[in-house]
Amino acid sequence: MNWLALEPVIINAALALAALILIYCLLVNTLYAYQLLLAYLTLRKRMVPDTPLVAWWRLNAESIPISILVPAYGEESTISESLRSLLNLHYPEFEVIVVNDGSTDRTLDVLIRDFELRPTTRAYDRVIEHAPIRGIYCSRKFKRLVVVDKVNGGKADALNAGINLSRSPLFCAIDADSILEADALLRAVEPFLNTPDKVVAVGGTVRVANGNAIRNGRVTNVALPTKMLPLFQIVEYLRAFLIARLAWSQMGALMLISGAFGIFKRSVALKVGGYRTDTVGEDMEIIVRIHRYMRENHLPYQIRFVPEPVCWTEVPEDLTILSRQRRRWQRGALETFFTHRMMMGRPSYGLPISTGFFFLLISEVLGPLFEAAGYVLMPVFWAYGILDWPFFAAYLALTFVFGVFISVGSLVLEEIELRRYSHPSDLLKLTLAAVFENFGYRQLNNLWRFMGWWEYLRGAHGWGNMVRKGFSS
Amino acid sequence: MRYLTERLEFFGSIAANDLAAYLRSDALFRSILWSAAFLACLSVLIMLLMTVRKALSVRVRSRINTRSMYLRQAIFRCVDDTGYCDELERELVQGDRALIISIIRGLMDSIRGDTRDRLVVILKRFGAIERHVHNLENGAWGDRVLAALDLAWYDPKDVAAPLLKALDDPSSRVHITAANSLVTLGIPLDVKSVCRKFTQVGKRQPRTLRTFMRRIAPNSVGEFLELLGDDNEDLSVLVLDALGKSQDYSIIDRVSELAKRHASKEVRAAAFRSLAALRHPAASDAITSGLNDVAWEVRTEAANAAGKIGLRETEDRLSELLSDTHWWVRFRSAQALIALAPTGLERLRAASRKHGLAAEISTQVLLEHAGEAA
Repeated sequence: MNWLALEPVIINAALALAALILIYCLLVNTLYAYQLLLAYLTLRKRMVPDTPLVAWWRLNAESIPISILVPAYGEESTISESLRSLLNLHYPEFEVIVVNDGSTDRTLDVLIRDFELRPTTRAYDRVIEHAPIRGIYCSRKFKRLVVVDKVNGGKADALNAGINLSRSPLFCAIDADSILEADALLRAVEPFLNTPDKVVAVGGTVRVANGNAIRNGRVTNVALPTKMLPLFQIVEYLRAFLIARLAWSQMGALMLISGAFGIFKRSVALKVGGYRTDTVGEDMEIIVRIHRYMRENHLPYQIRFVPEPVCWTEVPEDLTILSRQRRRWQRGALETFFTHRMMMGRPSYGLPISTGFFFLLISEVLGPLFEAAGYVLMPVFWAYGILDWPFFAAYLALTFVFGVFISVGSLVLEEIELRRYSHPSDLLKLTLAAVFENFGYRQLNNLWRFMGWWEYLRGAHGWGNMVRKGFSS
Repeated sequence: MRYLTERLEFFGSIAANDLAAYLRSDALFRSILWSAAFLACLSVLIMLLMTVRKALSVRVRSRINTRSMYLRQAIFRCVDDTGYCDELERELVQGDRALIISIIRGLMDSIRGDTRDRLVVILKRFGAIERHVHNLENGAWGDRVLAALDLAWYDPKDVAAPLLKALDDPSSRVHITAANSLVTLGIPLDVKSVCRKFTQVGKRQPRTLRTFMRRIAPNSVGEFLELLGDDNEDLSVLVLDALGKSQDYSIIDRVSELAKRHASKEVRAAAFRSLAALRHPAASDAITSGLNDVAWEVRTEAANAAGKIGLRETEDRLSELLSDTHWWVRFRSAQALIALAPTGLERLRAASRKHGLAAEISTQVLLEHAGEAA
């Protein structure tokens, strides 16, 4: 075989691959820029949010009863603080159903001790299957609290048990390590009140609690963490919620409501069969399944994102746990995408869903592969002289520099519209974090996503452990 | 292998020439590079400017806070001594009028009685009505809502015209708020035309409309009963809901009629909710027929109403409904039987000793009832 004759072919193949990577980067960045613009326009259009007192006065008489479902597994350090915040929410009619999913630590003991639980019973229709319930408890101190102790079956299984037990027209799924702002439910429920026949699910903003002062289950002072890793995640969360979710919601193609804070119409969740227990991305999967169900049955519906109700959550502060979380998220996205892949490009599902799926394909499915290929191959191609400097520089600009624009853009949105960080020094720190996260952190994240792909191909299951530091500390 | 190599060379040479020529034109790459760099620098610059603005706004805010504290004290002094208002007016600087209006606005929710009346007088003196009317006519919709809300504080003759005009505002929030303000001020409204206008078929019905209709229901029962003749299901549901809150028992026959015969299950269910809210035994016939309705939503509401009103004659049917195909019907029937204690409770206990769906729901509801009682 004449290898010399093959050399131009290899060079051309390399060039073609480099061009493909560059086109991919260009496409993704254009979409991000479009989302940023759309999010900005959406935020500009909304009414100035009410103060908590006005929100209560305006909404309390008409609010719909809600069951707050809190699946808990190994949450002994944070569960009491979270529950106190939930039980003190400003909402006229709600109950909190904590589902202890067979925790191996002292979660149930802590609950029994802190909330003076006693065994009780409750009539419910077992519409969705779930692992057996070992006991139901109610609190002597808080009438709104119900604790369900069941055999371990995973987060989705615990939520399904909670959906069965709830009796309200709406349920709110939240993580046990999250803290809802006092008026979060009031604000999040507004789309259900304004468009009762259409809205089937609403998501709120999830923000990073690390660094905040928390007292009695309330965030008393919003501040930044001192460690770099949570700081980078603040920028990441702002980008994900203030740009991506808002833009997709506006387009009618919201594919994910965070498992940390989402409100659903119970009847719709029952119709789609509740959460799927065989995926680690159950929060994304149920949203896609709702889209699918509503479209296939030609039912009018909306899945909305509201930026103002805020849920604070503790994010990982060490690389091992963060890596585990990101790999799991990637596996969840892939599982959802491949389960419902037939929805992509089908006119019967409508343009927004096709667009949403296309973006899911290029950002979540192909993204890690293209990005990893770019990080490895482009410098090699350039070093071997296959790519000239302007080409390579354009790639670097799209990969690193454009990322700075998007990240800082999300901070600009935050500061124009929401202004949660009150100190000028916080803004300066966040700006620096938004710049520097593009040089190292993002690449690390991509590596984890790539590993998530690998785990998906190997058929890995399970969540892995998330070690909680606890809000009180 | 040689064939493959030749093919690759052939296609490679065609593609290579075009691709290489295109990719080697630096203009594209340079434009990507510079536009990305420009956008990144621009965003960072904007953020730095915002940081500076925040630092300045912290200072301005502290100055405004100091001024607000002074003006707040001055306002309370004005409340006690009206003569001081002239003095205050003379020393006002730019922006103080808006600040005074916003301070008083914040106080209005928590102050009642004479002090509130005096605050309204101060608001009028500092031009608040003109400001509200201007906002109601020209402001963004959020400002229009607030203006319509705030105009309810003043003398009806000063604000009736702009509020009546606001009933035609395209925003539902604005026109319903204006209607609420008109009701607060005691300005008579053409209830039928307003309700019809606000509930046009196909338009979304905001929750504030329900609150408004509940509010006017006690004094508009006649008009509401006439509205029930309209061919608008959304309007009928809202009217029935409002009538249920009116506590006027003269409507029972008409509502019972709708509960029995209306074609829409939503309207029938709303009628039973209304009857449950009225809690009058005259609804017995309608409820007995509702317990046999084909729609499970209607059976659920009828069972609920039977329990709420305490209709012992429905016990037989409620016992049968413990085996209904729908869980909510079974559950509400079981709850109704508990409400019909002691005989209903005894029937529920008897059902729990048998088998099947009735036994399951009876056991669950009895256990829950026992738990609650404990």
